[in-house]
Amino acid sequence: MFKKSVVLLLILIVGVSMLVGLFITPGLNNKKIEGEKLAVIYVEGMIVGGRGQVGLFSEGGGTDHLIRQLHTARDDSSVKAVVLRINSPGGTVPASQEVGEELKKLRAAGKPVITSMADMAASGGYWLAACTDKIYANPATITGSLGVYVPYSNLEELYKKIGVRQEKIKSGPHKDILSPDRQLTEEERAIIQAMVDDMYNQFIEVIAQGRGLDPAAVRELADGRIYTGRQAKELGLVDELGNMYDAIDGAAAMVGIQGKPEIVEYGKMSVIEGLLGARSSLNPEQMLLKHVKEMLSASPAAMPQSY
Amino acid sequence: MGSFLETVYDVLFNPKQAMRYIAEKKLIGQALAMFSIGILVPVWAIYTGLKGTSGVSVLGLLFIVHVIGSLVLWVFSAAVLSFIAELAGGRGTAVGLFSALGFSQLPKIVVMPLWVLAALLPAGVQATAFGLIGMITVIWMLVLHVAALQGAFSLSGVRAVLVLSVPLLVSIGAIVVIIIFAGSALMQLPF
Repeated sequence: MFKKSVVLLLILIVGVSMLVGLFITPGLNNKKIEGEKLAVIYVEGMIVGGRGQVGLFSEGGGTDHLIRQLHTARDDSSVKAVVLRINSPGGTVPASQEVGEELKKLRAAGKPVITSMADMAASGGYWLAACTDKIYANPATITGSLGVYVPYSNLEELYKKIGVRQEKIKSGPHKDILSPDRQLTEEERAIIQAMVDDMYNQFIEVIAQGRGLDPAAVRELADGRIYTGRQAKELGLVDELGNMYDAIDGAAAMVGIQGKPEIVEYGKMSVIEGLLGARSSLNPEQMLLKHVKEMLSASPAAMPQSY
Repeated sequence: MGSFLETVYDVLFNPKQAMRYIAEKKLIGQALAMFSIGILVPVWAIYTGLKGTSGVSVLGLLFIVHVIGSLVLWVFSAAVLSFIAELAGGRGTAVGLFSALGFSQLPKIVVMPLWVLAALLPAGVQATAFGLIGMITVIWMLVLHVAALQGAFSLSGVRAVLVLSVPLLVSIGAIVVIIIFAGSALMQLPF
């Protein structure tokens, strides 16, 4: 009888708990799920187009991955603002441009984007920052490097020494432009220069529009030099000096979140993802091989760089 | 012992003897009842947590997955652990162990009041409290598994722990090997 009484009492307690649970919604209350969050999206390393490196459970390093994160933040109604944490020396112009355009769309969707610059947010990294509502940088952050260049290596003499002679059957005179086995002609140099100038002008427009600066003034700043965060602030390229937490607080204040904001991080790799999705950049041999391939290949690898 | 309530009391306060009795008598009906309650209560707890949110829409699917998964795991655990227990020198039946393992769901039910109490705590300590309750539940269930193996196959405590550990260690080892091979194979691809 005693045993039954004890168990019946336990059943009663469990039953009451279940009923109480209905009213207090343990653990996950509505506010927490549908509440107000800030998303933190990381831009790390080179900004390059495409899917980047694909692992067993993850992919990353390319702009496709980054844009997907921006879309996730846009579609998540609980995310009120996005903090873009940039630690990048730059990247290719098209890749920076497509992410920049997505940032503008995110802002147009009513979600402010605040940049927090880490060690470095130069060139293509600054392109992204210029497309956001507000820029925070550490006083010693390296930024600037505003400009565009097309890398080109002339290995003609080396090829002669090692007995390599490339033969090409071309559909047009400029099909092998930027080929490393010969000198650029003056006409080709003019073609490439025109491309660089066009992309530079686009970069200037993005900065001028994003920062509300006069394009002529931006041109003066955008001679390719790098700036510290503090210098950049004095020049109007940065809004505030501070770290990521200052940027988070600033973003919370911007959207009127009271108290400590709830943070959701996109693109954060778990330990398993880190192991299985390890980037080739971690493999020095692959990095070297890729670099040599790019040097020896023809024009497709000679992507205009903004870093 | 005899009625369901008395069996539950003994599993709570004298698990080793209770499990032996359950295994000997092969109380499959009572084990099924305990298993069913052990499934419903956690699902209820999850429902209370998710109600009013978009997450509640997946509860039906979650319930089905939970029922099927738990049932498969129960049957599979009883079969595998019986086999290993016999290899370890134990004497008993798979049906007896199956019945005893059904009662190892009991902690899932008993922690419900703790779950509710934790929900009343300040937000800062709530996550820690839930984690602690989860850990208590897992440890308690493992203790009941050991007691079930001891009772059903007359094993010593150490042997019962070893028998219980073997499938876990083999599974972990297999997963690690699969992940290493699959990961290294994919990383070689020229993406």
